[in-house]
Amino acid sequence: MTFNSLTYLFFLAAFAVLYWRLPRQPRLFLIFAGSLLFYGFWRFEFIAILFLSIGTDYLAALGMSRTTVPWKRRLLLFASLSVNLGLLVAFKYLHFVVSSVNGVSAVLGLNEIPLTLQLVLPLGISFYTFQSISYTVDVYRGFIRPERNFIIFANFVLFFPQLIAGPILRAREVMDQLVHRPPFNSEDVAEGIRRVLAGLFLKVVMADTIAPLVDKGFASPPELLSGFDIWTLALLFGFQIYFDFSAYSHIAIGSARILGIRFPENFDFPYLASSPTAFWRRWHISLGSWVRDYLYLPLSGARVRGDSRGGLGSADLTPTEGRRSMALLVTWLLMGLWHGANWTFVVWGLWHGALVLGHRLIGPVVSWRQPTRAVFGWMVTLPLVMLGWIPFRAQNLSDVWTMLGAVITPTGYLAREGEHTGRIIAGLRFSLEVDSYYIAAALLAATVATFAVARWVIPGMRQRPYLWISAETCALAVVTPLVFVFLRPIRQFIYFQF
Amino acid sequence: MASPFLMKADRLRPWAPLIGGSLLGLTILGLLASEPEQKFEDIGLGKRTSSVFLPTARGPFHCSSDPAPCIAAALGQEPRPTTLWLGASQLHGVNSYIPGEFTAPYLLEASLQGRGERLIALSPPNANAREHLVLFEAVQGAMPLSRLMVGAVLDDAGEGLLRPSIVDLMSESPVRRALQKTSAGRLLLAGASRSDAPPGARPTEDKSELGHEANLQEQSEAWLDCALGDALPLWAARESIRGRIYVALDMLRWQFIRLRSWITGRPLDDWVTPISPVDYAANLTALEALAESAQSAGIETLIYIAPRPSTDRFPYDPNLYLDFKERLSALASRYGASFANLEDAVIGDVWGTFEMAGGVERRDIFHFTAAGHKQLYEALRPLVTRRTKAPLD
Repeated sequence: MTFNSLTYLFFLAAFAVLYWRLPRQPRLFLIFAGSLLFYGFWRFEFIAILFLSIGTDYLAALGMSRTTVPWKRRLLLFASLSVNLGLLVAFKYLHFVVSSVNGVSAVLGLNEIPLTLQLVLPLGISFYTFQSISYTVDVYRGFIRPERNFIIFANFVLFFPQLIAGPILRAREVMDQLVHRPPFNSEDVAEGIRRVLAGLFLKVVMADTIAPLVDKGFASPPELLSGFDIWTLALLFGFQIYFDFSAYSHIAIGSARILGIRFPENFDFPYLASSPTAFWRRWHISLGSWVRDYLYLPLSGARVRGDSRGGLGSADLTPTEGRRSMALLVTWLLMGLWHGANWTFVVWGLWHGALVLGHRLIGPVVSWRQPTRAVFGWMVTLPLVMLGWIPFRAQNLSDVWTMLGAVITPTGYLAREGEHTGRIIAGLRFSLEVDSYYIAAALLAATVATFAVARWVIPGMRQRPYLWISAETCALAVVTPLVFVFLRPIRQFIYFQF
Repeated sequence: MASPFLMKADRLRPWAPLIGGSLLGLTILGLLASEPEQKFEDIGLGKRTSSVFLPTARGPFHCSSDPAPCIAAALGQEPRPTTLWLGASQLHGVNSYIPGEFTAPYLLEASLQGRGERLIALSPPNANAREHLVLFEAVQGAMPLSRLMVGAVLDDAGEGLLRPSIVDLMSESPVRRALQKTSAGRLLLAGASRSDAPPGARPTEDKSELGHEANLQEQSEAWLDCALGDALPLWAARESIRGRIYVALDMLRWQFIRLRSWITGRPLDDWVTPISPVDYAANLTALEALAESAQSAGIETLIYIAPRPSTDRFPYDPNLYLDFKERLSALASRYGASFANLEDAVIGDVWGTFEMAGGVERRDIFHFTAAGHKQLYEALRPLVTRRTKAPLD
């Protein structure tokens, strides 16, 4: 079931009414059945794969709690990881691996592996496998006790607001809330509805408006695009994916809030970050903290002492800088692959790995004071992050190199001999629809305005309740009718594909 | 102890902006929806120009983007050689229309009827060659054609949108089969069925077949949409409200264009309208596919350059326009089609006016009066009866 639809809104309303009226046991079954219904609106047959992951981890965690023999515990953990990662590899990466091997075989003149099976990617598999893995690893590490009630554990994985595209939750964050429903608070419901509205606005008005310009730009032969066009497309897609994904998170968080359940925040104005490291503490926070705790820290040899809520965690770090750097790059390579089975995503991951590594090396050397440091950092970070979206969105590696080439070579910005289409201003070439440039410029200006509003305007307004209420009323007077008019499930959320 | 009233007010405070703001916004929406219905297709036609689709006694023959009524009317009559005329709003836009006047398609249809033939004219506003390709395959799949006429407009060669009614046509099996035969057609099909995920992400649904069976979500969504539309007039009016919002945004865009002119000191009508290189290339490829498809079906084809006012400044790069005409002429030769340059076919004070930002009027270089339609018909009539390979002038 997609969030930007009438079906979901009616489902959520009906679910909420039942949720608040039912006693504990029936309520747990309601969450279970409702979440399965939510998932089954796409394809019921893929619920079996969900249960394979859930069942394996439930049993593995229980098994780990019943033995203190290290090799047995490790074996159970290995079983859980194998099933979850095996599902992910089979459905998501098999085709990519075989295609890549066949590509190399073709170059070497060897026989290709026949690839007749094309599997449809189960919705949300990248998210629920990671969430489930975090549970078994936390049980293995002794951070949490295993849940003995299968329905309660299944609800932790299946809970519909976060099932398909996160936030990736930790058991400690949410399981207790699912079991012991917090008392009804109308403020929570009001806040939840506000978040859902905000999410729908970001998706159906903002992201879906930018999407056709982005699609058209990236579908164009890249050799027709100038350097300015590439920067414009980078900005547009950067904002499209931000609006799209943060919208999903808003709706997920808001839906849970209506039910009295608090999810952690998943975004924190990432395009205001003043360094690549800061960016990854603000973008897809739940994935960043998951990767840190379950991939980066173990790879770098650290001993994790607690979970990383909000991307910050405690660990005994290894002193070896070389190992940390290698762990960082491997982590980012895998992060790239998590987003998609294509070499373009690997490039994207390594790009960000290089940025974070670069910041780690250069950051301490720069001795400027605030706010100069922050401003300069933002002016450097934002373009680099935006440029990173080019490999993320491009059709293939060849397009990536062509597009990046147009950006870094001066001639990539210039009009070419005999060129009559597009727009030529002062010898510079512009080939996209003119609205692309206007919207990109407006979004950039809005980013700066957002900082000013968040920093100076909102704190002042919050001190004056009636002013705050009036401002919120005016904002909702714009948001609600726009959502009403534009609500149509014409475009899937981008992160559904991961 | 706090009074019950204050306690209640405190509990209602989080809801006040939510309910108040939403009600206010929806009320404004309701007021918008209550305004007289705008004919959006006429907004782009210019001042005093309106859409005129004249039927004959035998039924409709001239349609916009949905060919179904015209095809149904033709199939309901006795079989006769059929000409398909593909154009844009120039075929149905009439400046200062007086009832009783005729459009060029109407005049040609009457002329062809006199010879025992018939005409089907399709003229979606701003139709691009990709849309023409789909429309051609849709009509060709429904009934045999003896002749094809395609009006080529440089401005439309820079258009990239496929309107929903034409995308719907691509779900019909005969149209899909025909589109599969050309690279341009295959690209159109791929674009219509592609999910909007970045490449490399595995598909979550097998949507390779357009017209796939609707899943539970799609079925429930359609049902809810219908039910809400029946119950709430405001819900049913959403499409119209969306149209108004887009028109308002376009007017806002004109204000920015006016600001640009003020800043740079250049008059509003002094700017060159850019043509997207991507759409230009794609539309020429689609036109080639159209000519190829017509040739393989043995259909006599005429491609003509649409008329434009010769006395006014042409807001396009003249080199691009020359390239456009040359490419079309070469394309026609390659596929055994006729080519005619009719850019000077409509002369005199028969062109409409177009209102730009701030009430500034300029000549409408696409739409003319009924007298202009007659001139277009007179120019086309001899070409329809014989093969012509007119050289470029």
